[in-house]
Amino acid sequence: MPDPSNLAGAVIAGLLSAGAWQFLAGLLRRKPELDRLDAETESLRLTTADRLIDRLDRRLQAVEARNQQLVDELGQRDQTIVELEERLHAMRQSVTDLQRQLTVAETQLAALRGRETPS
Amino acid sequence: MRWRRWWHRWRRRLRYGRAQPTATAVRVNPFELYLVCLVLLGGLPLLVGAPAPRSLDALVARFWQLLWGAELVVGAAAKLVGIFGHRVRWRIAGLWLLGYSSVAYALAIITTLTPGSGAAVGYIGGFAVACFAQIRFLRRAAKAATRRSSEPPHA
Repeated sequence: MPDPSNLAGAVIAGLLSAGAWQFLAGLLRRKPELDRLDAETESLRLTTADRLIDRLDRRLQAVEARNQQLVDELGQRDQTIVELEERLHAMRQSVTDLQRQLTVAETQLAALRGRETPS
Repeated sequence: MRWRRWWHRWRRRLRYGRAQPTATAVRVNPFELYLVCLVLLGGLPLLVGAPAPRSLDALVARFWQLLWGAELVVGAAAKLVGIFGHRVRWRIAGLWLLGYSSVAYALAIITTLTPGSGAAVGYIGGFAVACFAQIRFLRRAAKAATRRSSEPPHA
């Protein structure tokens, strides 16, 4: 009866050798179906990456469009502010002119009243 | 961004043509990754001079002990290459190594049976079964991919 520990040792050595052999065979042997699976996986990764890029691209476009809209609105508001300021300036100018005319008229009225007063 | 999308599409079309096969998802599984790292860390000390487990030490010479440690490390490394490089061939090759070395270790524990080693045999034996089952799964996925690729591409 062989020694069980020797037998077990031999079996273990055999298993380890078989494992090494399978490893090398798995790497070196031609397996088209495995290469095809790798290709599909790569394709799926790229497709997934494409979809992600598409989604990010769409989001970026939406953000850019909104950004442009806000810039346009700000531009319009700036334009309105400038126009209002010009109108305000023009109105102030008119008010100043009217005040000057009023002062001249009051002076003339005072002068006329002074002449009419009997000495 | 757009140029990158175009480049990927062009590259894919150049390699695979217009057909866009749906793929069996062979993704990075965190549990698988964790197990592989455990195995790697288990085999590494042996290669830098640490003693082998008592069961193996009692049964086989130093050369086979080192080979066992090397198989664990190389098998785990091959798995990692397969996982991160998305290469099924490397995953299967790594699994063969891990499966066989696990069976060898389980056999060593059974032979030098000590109290409390039943659980260890269970864990290691279960790991070996899982390795071979995973090999079977990946080969079936490869066959399914072959069948799908031979179908006419959708427009």
